Amino acid sequence: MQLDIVVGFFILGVFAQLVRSDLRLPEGLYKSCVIFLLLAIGLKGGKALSASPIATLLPQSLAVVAFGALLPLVAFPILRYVGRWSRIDAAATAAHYGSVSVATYAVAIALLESRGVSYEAYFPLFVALLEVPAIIIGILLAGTVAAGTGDRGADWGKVTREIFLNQGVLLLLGGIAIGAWAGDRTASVMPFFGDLFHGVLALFLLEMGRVAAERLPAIRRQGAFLLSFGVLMPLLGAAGGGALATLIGLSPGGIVLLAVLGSSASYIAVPAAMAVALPQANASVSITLSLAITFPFNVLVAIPAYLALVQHWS
Amino acid sequence: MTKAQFLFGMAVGAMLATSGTALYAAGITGGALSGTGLLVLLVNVVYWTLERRASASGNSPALARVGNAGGRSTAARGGVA
Repeated sequence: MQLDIVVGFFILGVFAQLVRSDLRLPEGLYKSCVIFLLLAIGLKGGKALSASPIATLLPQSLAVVAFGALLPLVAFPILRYVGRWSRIDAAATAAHYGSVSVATYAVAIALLESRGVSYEAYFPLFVALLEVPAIIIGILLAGTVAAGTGDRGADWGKVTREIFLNQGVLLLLGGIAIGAWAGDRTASVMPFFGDLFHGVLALFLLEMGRVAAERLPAIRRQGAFLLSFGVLMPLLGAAGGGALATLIGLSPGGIVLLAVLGSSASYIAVPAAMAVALPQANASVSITLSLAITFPFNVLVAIPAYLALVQHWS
Repeated sequence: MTKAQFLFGMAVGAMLATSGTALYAAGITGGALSGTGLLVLLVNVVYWTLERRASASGNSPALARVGNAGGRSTAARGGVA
Protein backbone atom coordinates (compact mmCIF):
# COMPACT_ATOMS: atom_id res chain seq x y z
CA MET A 1 0.00 0.00 0.00
CA GLN A 2 1.70 3.17 -1.24
CA LEU A 3 0.76 6.68 -0.18
CA ASP A 4 0.00 9.16 -2.95
CA ILE A 5 2.74 11.68 -3.74
CA VAL A 6 0.66 14.64 -2.48
CA VAL A 7 0.66 13.10 1.01
CA GLY A 8 4.43 13.55 1.00
CA PHE A 9 3.86 17.32 1.01
CA PHE A 10 1.55 17.00 4.01
CA ILE A 11 4.26 15.08 5.89
CA LEU A 12 6.80 17.73 4.90
CA GLY A 13 4.53 20.42 6.37
CA VAL A 14 4.19 18.45 9.62
CA PHE A 15 7.95 17.98 9.77
CA ALA A 16 8.61 21.67 9.11
CA GLN A 17 6.37 22.66 12.01
CA LEU A 18 7.78 20.05 14.39
CA VAL A 19 11.36 21.25 13.79
CA ARG A 20 10.13 24.86 14.10
CA SER A 21 11.11 25.83 10.57
CA ASP A 22 9.92 29.24 9.36
CA LEU A 23 8.20 27.56 6.41
CA ARG A 24 4.77 29.11 5.91
CA LEU A 25 2.65 29.52 2.79
CA PRO A 26 1.70 33.18 2.27
CA GLU A 27 -1.90 33.76 3.39
CA GLY A 28 -2.94 34.94 -0.09
CA LEU A 29 -1.47 31.88 -1.77
CA TYR A 30 -3.15 29.55 0.71
CA LYS A 31 -6.52 31.19 0.09
CA SER A 32 -5.91 31.03 -3.67
CA CYS A 33 -5.22 27.29 -3.37
CA VAL A 34 -8.53 26.82 -1.50
CA ILE A 35 -10.45 28.76 -4.17
CA PHE A 36 -8.73 26.83 -6.95
CA LEU A 37 -9.45 23.42 -5.40
CA LEU A 38 -13.12 24.17 -4.71
CA LEU A 39 -13.70 25.51 -8.23
CA ALA A 40 -11.78 22.67 -9.86
CA ILE A 41 -13.77 20.03 -7.97
CA GLY A 42 -17.04 21.85 -8.64
CA LEU A 43 -16.42 22.34 -12.37
CA LYS A 44 -15.54 18.70 -12.92
CA GLY A 45 -18.56 17.54 -10.95
CA GLY A 46 -20.87 20.00 -12.71
CA LYS A 47 -19.78 18.82 -16.13
CA ALA A 48 -20.57 15.23 -15.14
CA LEU A 49 -23.84 16.34 -13.62
CA SER A 50 -25.04 17.75 -16.94
CA ALA A 51 -24.76 14.28 -18.44
CA SER A 52 -26.37 12.39 -15.54
CA PRO A 53 -30.06 11.41 -15.46
CA ILE A 54 -31.97 13.04 -12.59
CA ALA A 55 -33.85 9.77 -11.97
CA THR A 56 -30.55 8.27 -10.79
CA LEU A 57 -29.30 11.32 -8.97
CA LEU A 58 -32.37 12.17 -6.92
CA PRO A 59 -32.68 8.99 -4.84
CA GLN A 60 -28.92 8.87 -4.36
CA SER A 61 -28.87 12.51 -3.25
CA LEU A 62 -31.70 11.94 -0.76
CA ALA A 63 -29.89 8.93 0.68
CA VAL A 64 -26.68 10.95 1.02
CA VAL A 65 -28.51 13.80 2.81
CA ALA A 66 -30.06 11.30 5.25
CA PHE A 67 -26.61 9.85 5.85
CA GLY A 68 -25.25 13.32 6.63
CA ALA A 69 -28.04 13.85 9.16
CA LEU A 70 -27.36 10.52 10.83
CA LEU A 71 -23.62 10.98 11.47
CA PRO A 72 -23.91 13.70 14.16
CA LEU A 73 -26.42 11.48 15.97
CA VAL A 74 -23.70 8.84 16.21
CA ALA A 75 -20.98 11.26 17.35
CA PHE A 76 -23.10 13.20 19.85
CA PRO A 77 -23.75 10.46 22.47
CA ILE A 78 -20.08 9.43 22.45
CA LEU A 79 -18.93 12.98 23.17
CA ARG A 80 -21.73 13.69 25.61
CA TYR A 81 -21.79 10.50 27.68
CA VAL A 82 -18.30 9.04 27.29
CA GLY A 83 -16.40 12.31 26.89
CA ARG A 84 -18.67 14.01 29.48
CA TRP A 85 -18.70 17.14 27.31
CA SER A 86 -21.32 19.84 27.70
CA ARG A 87 -24.31 19.41 25.42
CA ILE A 88 -23.39 22.45 23.33
CA ASP A 89 -19.76 21.42 22.83
CA ALA A 90 -20.82 17.87 21.98
CA ALA A 91 -23.45 19.10 19.50
CA ALA A 92 -21.06 21.52 17.79
CA THR A 93 -18.33 18.88 17.44
CA ALA A 94 -20.86 16.27 16.27
CA ALA A 95 -21.85 18.69 13.49
CA HIS A 96 -18.21 18.85 12.37
CA TYR A 97 -18.14 15.06 12.07
CA GLY A 98 -21.42 14.91 10.14
CA SER A 99 -20.14 17.40 7.60
CA VAL A 100 -17.27 16.86 5.17
CA SER A 101 -13.76 18.05 4.45
CA VAL A 102 -13.19 19.06 0.84
CA ALA A 103 -9.42 18.71 1.33
CA THR A 104 -9.83 15.08 2.42
CA TYR A 105 -12.05 14.50 -0.61
CA ALA A 106 -9.42 16.11 -2.85
CA VAL A 107 -6.75 13.76 -1.47
CA ALA A 108 -9.04 10.79 -2.13
CA ILE A 109 -9.73 11.73 -5.76
CA ALA A 110 -6.02 12.39 -6.30
CA LEU A 111 -5.31 8.86 -5.06
CA LEU A 112 -8.09 7.30 -7.17
CA GLU A 113 -6.92 9.12 -10.30
CA SER A 114 -3.29 8.21 -9.76
CA ARG A 115 -4.31 4.54 -9.43
CA GLY A 116 -6.64 4.71 -12.43
CA VAL A 117 -9.76 3.89 -10.37
CA SER A 118 -12.91 5.34 -11.92
CA TYR A 119 -15.69 6.90 -9.86
CA GLU A 120 -18.98 8.75 -10.36
CA ALA A 121 -17.76 12.14 -11.59
CA TYR A 122 -20.84 13.92 -10.17
CA PHE A 123 -19.58 13.25 -6.63
CA PRO A 124 -18.95 16.96 -5.88
CA LEU A 125 -22.75 17.26 -5.69
CA PHE A 126 -22.67 14.87 -2.72
CA VAL A 127 -19.84 16.89 -1.16
CA ALA A 128 -21.99 20.03 -1.31
CA LEU A 129 -25.09 18.20 -0.08
CA LEU A 130 -23.24 16.74 2.90
CA GLU A 131 -22.22 20.19 4.16
CA VAL A 132 -25.72 21.13 5.22
CA PRO A 133 -27.70 18.47 7.20
CA ALA A 134 -25.09 17.99 9.93
CA ILE A 135 -25.12 21.71 10.75
CA ILE A 136 -28.90 21.67 11.19
CA ILE A 137 -28.81 18.49 13.31
CA GLY A 138 -25.97 19.93 15.42
CA ILE A 139 -27.97 23.07 16.15
CA LEU A 140 -31.06 21.01 16.99
CA LEU A 141 -29.04 18.81 19.35
CA ALA A 142 -27.76 21.89 21.16
CA GLY A 143 -31.04 23.78 20.85
CA THR A 144 -32.89 21.80 23.49
CA VAL A 145 -30.54 23.24 26.10
CA ALA A 146 -30.71 26.76 24.70
CA ALA A 147 -34.50 26.66 25.05
CA GLY A 148 -34.28 25.33 28.60
CA THR A 149 -32.03 28.14 29.73
CA GLY A 150 -34.18 30.87 28.30
CA ASP A 151 -31.83 31.42 25.38
CA ARG A 152 -33.67 32.35 22.19
CA GLY A 153 -31.70 29.63 20.41
CA ALA A 154 -30.06 29.87 17.02
CA ASP A 155 -30.79 32.71 14.62
CA TRP A 156 -31.83 30.54 11.69
CA GLY A 157 -31.68 33.41 9.19
CA LYS A 158 -28.03 34.06 9.92
CA VAL A 159 -27.26 30.37 10.09
CA THR A 160 -28.91 29.68 6.73
CA ARG A 161 -26.93 32.52 5.20
CA GLU A 162 -23.72 31.13 6.70
CA ILE A 163 -24.49 27.61 5.48
CA PHE A 164 -25.21 28.51 1.87
CA LEU A 165 -23.15 31.64 1.32
CA ASN A 166 -19.88 30.80 3.04
CA GLN A 167 -16.92 30.80 0.68
CA GLY A 168 -16.55 27.02 0.58
CA VAL A 169 -20.14 26.15 -0.27
CA LEU A 170 -20.56 29.12 -2.62
CA LEU A 171 -17.48 28.21 -4.67
CA LEU A 172 -18.31 24.53 -4.74
CA LEU A 173 -21.95 25.09 -5.74
CA GLY A 174 -20.88 27.86 -8.15
CA GLY A 175 -18.36 25.54 -9.80
CA ILE A 176 -20.99 22.79 -10.08
CA ALA A 177 -23.50 25.23 -11.58
CA ILE A 178 -21.00 26.60 -14.13
CA GLY A 179 -19.81 23.10 -15.01
CA ALA A 180 -23.39 21.83 -15.45
CA TRP A 181 -24.31 24.85 -17.57
CA ALA A 182 -21.18 24.81 -19.73
CA GLY A 183 -20.89 21.03 -20.20
CA ASP A 184 -18.15 20.27 -22.73
CA ARG A 185 -17.26 23.96 -22.97
CA THR A 186 -15.43 23.55 -19.64
CA ALA A 187 -12.62 22.11 -21.80
CA SER A 188 -11.34 25.64 -22.42
CA VAL A 189 -10.56 26.19 -18.70
CA MET A 190 -9.51 22.63 -17.90
CA PRO A 191 -5.83 23.10 -18.78
CA PHE A 192 -5.79 25.34 -15.71
CA PHE A 193 -8.33 23.70 -13.37
CA GLY A 194 -7.62 20.11 -14.44
CA ASP A 195 -3.91 19.76 -15.20
CA LEU A 196 -2.72 21.83 -12.24
CA PHE A 197 -4.99 20.12 -9.69
CA HIS A 198 -2.40 17.77 -8.17
CA GLY A 199 0.28 20.48 -7.98
CA VAL A 200 -2.00 22.97 -6.23
CA LEU A 201 -3.26 20.23 -3.90
CA ALA A 202 0.37 19.48 -2.98
CA LEU A 203 0.97 23.14 -2.06
CA PHE A 204 -2.26 23.24 -0.06
CA LEU A 205 -1.34 20.07 1.83
CA LEU A 206 2.08 21.47 2.66
CA GLU A 207 0.36 24.26 4.57
CA MET A 208 -2.26 21.90 6.03
CA GLY A 209 0.48 19.71 7.45
CA ARG A 210 2.05 22.71 9.11
CA VAL A 211 -1.28 23.92 10.54
CA ALA A 212 -2.22 20.44 11.80
CA ALA A 213 1.12 20.07 13.58
CA GLU A 214 0.81 23.59 14.99
CA ARG A 215 -2.45 22.57 16.69
CA LEU A 216 -1.11 19.37 18.26
CA PRO A 217 0.00 20.95 21.57
CA ALA A 218 -3.55 22.24 22.07
CA ILE A 219 -4.88 18.70 22.51
CA ARG A 220 -2.38 17.68 25.17
CA ARG A 221 -4.82 17.94 28.05
CA GLN A 222 -7.62 15.79 26.64
CA GLY A 223 -5.27 13.91 24.32
CA ALA A 224 -6.30 10.34 25.09
CA PHE A 225 -10.04 10.80 24.60
CA LEU A 226 -9.61 13.14 21.62
CA LEU A 227 -7.27 10.69 19.91
CA SER A 228 -9.63 7.77 20.57
CA PHE A 229 -12.68 9.66 19.31
CA GLY A 230 -10.77 11.26 16.43
CA VAL A 231 -9.87 7.87 14.94
CA LEU A 232 -13.04 5.95 15.85
CA MET A 233 -15.52 8.40 14.35
CA PRO A 234 -13.94 8.35 10.85
CA LEU A 235 -14.10 4.57 10.85
CA LEU A 236 -17.78 4.57 11.87
CA GLY A 237 -18.55 7.19 9.22
CA ALA A 238 -16.61 5.26 6.60
CA ALA A 239 -18.42 2.02 7.45
CA GLY A 240 -21.76 3.81 7.06
CA GLY A 241 -20.67 5.55 3.86
CA GLY A 242 -19.29 2.36 2.36
CA ALA A 243 -22.48 0.43 3.22
CA LEU A 244 -24.70 3.17 1.78
CA ALA A 245 -22.61 3.41 -1.40
CA THR A 246 -22.94 -0.34 -1.91
CA LEU A 247 -26.67 -0.12 -1.27
CA ILE A 248 -27.26 2.63 -3.85
CA GLY A 249 -25.11 0.84 -6.42
CA LEU A 250 -22.05 3.05 -6.72
CA SER A 251 -18.86 1.90 -8.43
CA PRO A 252 -15.84 0.74 -6.34
CA GLY A 253 -14.37 4.25 -6.70
CA GLY A 254 -17.68 5.71 -5.54
CA ILE A 255 -17.71 3.39 -2.53
CA VAL A 256 -14.26 4.67 -1.55
CA LEU A 257 -15.35 8.28 -1.98
CA LEU A 258 -18.55 7.97 0.07
CA ALA A 259 -16.54 6.18 2.76
CA VAL A 260 -14.07 9.07 2.69
CA LEU A 261 -16.85 11.64 2.94
CA GLY A 262 -18.33 9.78 5.92
CA SER A 263 -14.87 9.56 7.41
CA SER A 264 -13.95 13.23 7.06
CA ALA A 265 -14.75 16.08 9.40
CA SER A 266 -15.27 19.69 8.43
CA TYR A 267 -12.90 22.40 9.61
CA ILE A 268 -13.94 25.30 7.38
CA ALA A 269 -17.67 25.42 6.63
CA VAL A 270 -19.04 24.06 9.92
CA PRO A 271 -16.85 26.18 12.23
CA ALA A 272 -18.10 29.26 10.38
CA ALA A 273 -21.73 28.19 10.77
CA MET A 274 -21.27 27.15 14.40
CA ALA A 275 -19.66 30.48 15.26
CA VAL A 276 -22.96 32.07 14.28
CA ALA A 277 -25.36 29.42 15.56
CA LEU A 278 -23.60 28.30 18.77
CA PRO A 279 -21.15 31.05 19.72
CA GLN A 280 -20.87 29.65 23.24
CA ALA A 281 -19.43 26.33 21.96
CA ASN A 282 -15.71 25.70 22.25
CA ALA A 283 -14.74 26.14 18.59
CA SER A 284 -11.08 25.50 19.26
CA VAL A 285 -11.53 21.92 20.42
CA SER A 286 -13.75 21.00 17.44
CA ILE A 287 -11.38 22.43 14.85
CA THR A 288 -8.32 20.97 16.54
CA LEU A 289 -9.93 17.54 16.74
CA SER A 290 -10.88 17.48 13.07
CA LEU A 291 -7.72 19.17 11.81
CA ALA A 292 -4.98 17.74 14.02
CA ILE A 293 -6.28 14.19 14.50
CA THR A 294 -8.96 13.16 12.01
CA PHE A 295 -7.52 14.87 8.91
CA PRO A 296 -4.01 13.37 9.28
CA PHE A 297 -5.51 9.98 10.18
CA ASN A 298 -7.64 10.04 7.04
CA VAL A 299 -4.84 11.22 4.75
CA LEU A 300 -2.08 8.98 6.08
CA VAL A 301 -3.92 5.84 7.18
CA ALA A 302 -7.61 5.61 6.38
CA ILE A 303 -7.94 6.60 2.69
CA PRO A 304 -5.29 4.13 1.43
CA ALA A 305 -6.88 1.47 3.67
CA TYR A 306 -10.41 2.10 2.30
CA LEU A 307 -9.09 1.85 -1.26
CA ALA A 308 -7.20 -1.36 -0.49
CA LEU A 309 -10.28 -2.87 1.17
CA VAL A 310 -12.64 -1.96 -1.67
CA GLN A 311 -10.18 -3.19 -4.32
CA HIS A 312 -9.78 -6.45 -2.41
CA TRP A 313 -13.50 -7.12 -2.20
CA SER A 314 -14.61 -5.89 -5.62
CA MET B 1 -9.81 11.22 32.51
CA THR B 2 -12.74 9.11 33.66
CA LYS B 3 -12.78 5.33 33.78
CA ALA B 4 -15.35 5.33 30.97
CA GLN B 5 -13.02 7.40 28.77
CA PHE B 6 -10.13 5.06 29.54
CA LEU B 7 -12.17 1.96 28.72
CA PHE B 8 -13.48 3.63 25.57
CA GLY B 9 -9.95 4.45 24.46
CA MET B 10 -8.71 0.94 25.19
CA ALA B 11 -11.63 -0.57 23.26
CA VAL B 12 -10.97 1.71 20.27
CA GLY B 13 -7.24 0.94 20.35
CA ALA B 14 -7.77 -2.80 20.69
CA MET B 15 -10.33 -2.86 17.89
CA LEU B 16 -8.02 -0.92 15.55
CA ALA B 17 -4.94 -2.94 16.45
CA THR B 18 -6.75 -6.26 16.02
CA SER B 19 -8.50 -5.42 12.75
CA GLY B 20 -5.37 -3.70 11.41
CA THR B 21 -3.24 -6.73 12.20
CA ALA B 22 -5.78 -9.06 10.60
CA LEU B 23 -5.89 -6.96 7.43
CA TYR B 24 -2.11 -6.75 7.36
CA ALA B 25 -1.75 -10.50 7.82
CA ALA B 26 -4.20 -11.03 4.95
CA GLY B 27 -2.04 -8.79 2.77
CA ILE B 28 -4.85 -6.28 2.21
CA THR B 29 -3.46 -3.18 3.94
CA GLY B 30 -0.14 -2.04 5.34
CA GLY B 31 0.64 -1.83 9.02
CA ALA B 32 -0.57 1.75 9.52
CA LEU B 33 -3.98 0.76 10.94
CA SER B 34 -2.55 -1.57 13.56
CA GLY B 35 0.14 1.02 14.32
CA THR B 36 -2.57 3.61 14.97
CA GLY B 37 -4.37 1.14 17.24
CA LEU B 38 -1.20 0.55 19.25
CA LEU B 39 -0.66 4.31 19.50
CA VAL B 40 -4.21 4.79 20.85
CA LEU B 41 -3.63 2.01 23.43
CA LEU B 42 -0.30 3.50 24.48
CA VAL B 43 -1.60 7.05 24.83
CA ASN B 44 -4.56 5.89 26.91
CA VAL B 45 -2.37 3.82 29.21
CA VAL B 46 0.08 6.71 29.67
CA TYR B 47 -2.69 9.22 30.45
CA TRP B 48 -4.40 6.82 32.83
CA THR B 49 -1.16 5.96 34.63
CA LEU B 50 -0.11 9.60 34.97
CA GLU B 51 -3.50 10.51 36.35
CA ARG B 52 -3.56 7.65 38.89
CA ARG B 53 -0.08 8.63 40.00
CA ALA B 54 -1.11 12.26 40.39
CA SER B 55 -4.22 11.26 42.37
CA ALA B 56 -2.17 8.99 44.64
CA SER B 57 0.25 11.80 45.46
CA GLY B 58 -2.67 14.06 46.39
CA ASN B 59 -2.17 16.48 43.54
CA SER B 60 -5.03 17.54 41.34
CA PRO B 61 -3.37 18.45 38.09
CA ALA B 62 -5.20 19.85 35.14
CA LEU B 63 -4.91 16.44 33.53
CA ALA B 64 -7.09 14.94 36.23
CA ARG B 65 -9.84 17.48 35.79
CA VAL B 66 -10.05 17.20 32.03
CA GLY B 67 -13.02 15.28 30.69
CA ASN B 68 -15.14 15.85 33.76
CA ALA B 69 -17.01 18.88 32.56
CA GLY B 70 -20.15 17.54 34.20
CA GLY B 71 -22.42 19.40 31.87
CA ARG B 72 -20.52 22.66 31.84
CA SER B 73 -19.00 24.01 28.67
CA THR B 74 -15.32 23.26 28.24
CA ALA B 75 -15.11 26.70 26.67
CA ALA B 76 -16.32 28.22 29.92
CA ARG B 77 -13.47 26.47 31.71
CA GLY B 78 -10.91 27.77 29.28
CA GLY B 79 -11.30 24.85 26.91
CA VAL B 80 -8.43 22.68 25.86
CA ALA B 81 -6.65 25.16 23.67
